[in-house]
Amino acid sequence: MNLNPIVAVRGHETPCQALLRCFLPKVEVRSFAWLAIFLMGAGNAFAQADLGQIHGNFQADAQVYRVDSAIGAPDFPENLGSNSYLNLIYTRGDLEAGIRYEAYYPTLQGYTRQMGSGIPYRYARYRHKVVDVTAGTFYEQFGSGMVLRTYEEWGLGFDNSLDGVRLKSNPIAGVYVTGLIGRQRNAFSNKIEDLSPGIVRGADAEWEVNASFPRLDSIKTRVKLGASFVSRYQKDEDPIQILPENVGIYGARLNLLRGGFNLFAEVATKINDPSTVNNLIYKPGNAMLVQASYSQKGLGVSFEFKRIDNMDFRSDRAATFNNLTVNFLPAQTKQHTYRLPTLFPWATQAMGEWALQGEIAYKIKKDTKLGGPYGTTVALNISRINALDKTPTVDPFDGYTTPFMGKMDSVFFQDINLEITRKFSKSFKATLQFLHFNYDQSLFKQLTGFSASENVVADVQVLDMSWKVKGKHNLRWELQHCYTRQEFGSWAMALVEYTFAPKFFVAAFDEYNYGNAEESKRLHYFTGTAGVNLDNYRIQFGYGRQRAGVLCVGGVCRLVPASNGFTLSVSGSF
Amino acid sequence: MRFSIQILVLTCLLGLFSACDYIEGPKVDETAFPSSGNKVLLEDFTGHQCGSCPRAHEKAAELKEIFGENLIIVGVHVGGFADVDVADGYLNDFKTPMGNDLDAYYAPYNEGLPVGLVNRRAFNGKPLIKHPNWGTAISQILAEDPKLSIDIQTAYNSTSREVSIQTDMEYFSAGTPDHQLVVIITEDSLESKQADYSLPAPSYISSYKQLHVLRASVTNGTWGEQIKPAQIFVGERLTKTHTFVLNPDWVAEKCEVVAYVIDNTTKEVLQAQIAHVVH
Repeated sequence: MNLNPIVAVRGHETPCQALLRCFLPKVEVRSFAWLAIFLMGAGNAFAQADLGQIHGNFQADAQVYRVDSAIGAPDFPENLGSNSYLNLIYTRGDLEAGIRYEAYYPTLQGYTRQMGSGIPYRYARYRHKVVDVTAGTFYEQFGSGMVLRTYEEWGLGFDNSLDGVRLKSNPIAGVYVTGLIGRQRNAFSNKIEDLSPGIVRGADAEWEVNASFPRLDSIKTRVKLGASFVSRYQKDEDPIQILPENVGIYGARLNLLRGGFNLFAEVATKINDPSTVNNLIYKPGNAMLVQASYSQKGLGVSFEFKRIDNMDFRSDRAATFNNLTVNFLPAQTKQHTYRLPTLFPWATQAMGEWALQGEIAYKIKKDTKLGGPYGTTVALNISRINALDKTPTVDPFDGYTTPFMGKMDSVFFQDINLEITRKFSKSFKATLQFLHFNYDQSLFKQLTGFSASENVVADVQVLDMSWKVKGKHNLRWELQHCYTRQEFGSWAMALVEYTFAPKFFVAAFDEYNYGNAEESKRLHYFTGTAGVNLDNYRIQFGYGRQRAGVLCVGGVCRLVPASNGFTLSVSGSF
Repeated sequence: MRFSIQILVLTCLLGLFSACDYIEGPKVDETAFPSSGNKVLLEDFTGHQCGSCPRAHEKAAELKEIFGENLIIVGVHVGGFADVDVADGYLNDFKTPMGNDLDAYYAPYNEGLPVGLVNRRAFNGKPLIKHPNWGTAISQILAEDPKLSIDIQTAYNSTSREVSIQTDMEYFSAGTPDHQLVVIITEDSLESKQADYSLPAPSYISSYKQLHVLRASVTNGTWGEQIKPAQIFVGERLTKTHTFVLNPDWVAEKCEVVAYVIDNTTKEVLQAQIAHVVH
């Protein structure tokens, strides 16, 4: 949206301005421009004709809750919860400023409970030639994130943004350095006083070797090297233990690319960091991550290895769950999107795991016997995560010792899945998935309270079919089945979705827990949704029952309680 | 270019200044902790199915060693982790209406057990405190001047199982009508099954001793009863008496009376005291 000239006359306003007015009825759209300009201290911009651009996006999710004792949906005193945000980003030349307004009246179930609104995200950024300075709230990642990654994941209720100052620079061709200092946002809270008690300081350098030497710039092999260091300061106020006030974590990484080949490796180590999560031990932590992949037309192969030991690092040594994590430990498992396979997500075990993942995807050529008229894609993915073999030390403050190899007979998680996608005709295509899980449910006990004395072993099958009825009309349906004797027993699911592109869609699905050991819990979880897309905006309604479960994104998880009721979601960008 | 090199140097210095503290000597500070006369109430929210809770119990025991009689611990069993689960062998119901009220008010179970309240005071904006931070909170309160003192006298009739409780309060600073007296009964060394994630699978202790378990409130409900319907003067002495019949399943010799005064607006505990039921 161009603000030149700033005119917000009713009747002549743009859709974006009208939208803002709806959201913030007492605030003139023009005020945001003033705010942005004020933030940047660029008052003289007024004298000029070009006052920059404002862009943004918003989302409002609301749900009406009904008590449903059959599925364990609890009483929600307010009957309605809502999470909403609006992002505004102002840019003008080298300057950029942004805010995010968030409102929770109160938070939806499963999120850290909050009531109220605020502006937890606000920043100003100046970029000119080799200098890039941010003051305020920012997100940053060093390497794979094992040393530092701040990000937000709306669906998880996760936001560990830093509030402080960041400096980025590209002082020499091919060299990128970053320095930062700040405190972190805690548990989705809007309040400044809830920022982490610990201060996070960090620096990262990345060197694109080829870019630094003209002779190497033209060769096919590309090399990137990186190193990072982050330190947390938190006062030791413990009357008993002597705790380190400055705790450092550092890492080094290598990235090698040649044609379709890509190798990434990173190692990291953390000095003594007694915390609630590691039960106040002084053992240093370490991590290793290797990712290799190769791709060419019709073929993709990838392999990943990770070993982490005592690598939970937070800006408050007393923080738990997903709160105030400074680093991110990626999960070596496939992120499933179909409903029943998501019954078995993986939460990275920062205190120790040994993980392997391999994937091969091959497209069988079209017009062959196996490939059919349009080709067929086959993808096999295998992941396996083991516990580390820990032996307690004599001095409990040292924690434990552990060899490099994992405890191979103790399966934390295993997922073997095969996916076949085939287009049969111009109007019909189908995807078939077979999945086999072996899963240590007790790791989630703290989160869910489910009791588990043995691993969950489950076989899941998914069939997804899509038929272009005519023109923009598309019909898609899914059949899914999960067979398991553990946990809640077997499930079946069916979904039908009708889309009239690009504007309307309607869908309905039913999950049936027919194999539950308790007969009274063999229930249907029926949900219906409908939505409309209007230019850049989307409105979606739903009604139904949602089963309790665990939602994970990249190995970071939250509990989703059972619920029953209406949902409404509105989102858009401008 | 010169400017950019300066930036590079500054960025690197930022990293260097963020030094690391390696703790290689003793990890425990043996300094003694004098008390000004305050006694601190630690409410440890727990549950027998909570496998991380034994770590908090250990922490509480460690703090008791250090703070001695200045620390009063109450184990409050709350939420799903405290539910009876016959199939899994968690047979004891240690939940109480008072514990449920505290769970509804402070939501410790939603926060994630184990977690505790130290005099129900907010530290860093939050009253719920994780066990590694309990010591810090307790030592802060112990350093403050007491607002009042509490003294408890008990007399127990083993035939009727009735305990008579006399609570004497002396105010060192002015009190308000908002001050309420809460008297509760706790029982010690109750054996039960306890989950413990530090143990190899199946990760439980079949005969675990649950310490200072909250059993019941003697005074009216969870938030107690008003001490005086008017201002309380400096130096004023007030006495309250109560009687309570112990449940036949409770072992009187292991029961204790805990009395504390709260500010009913903030719910903060201002002073606490403990006494045996049977002397």
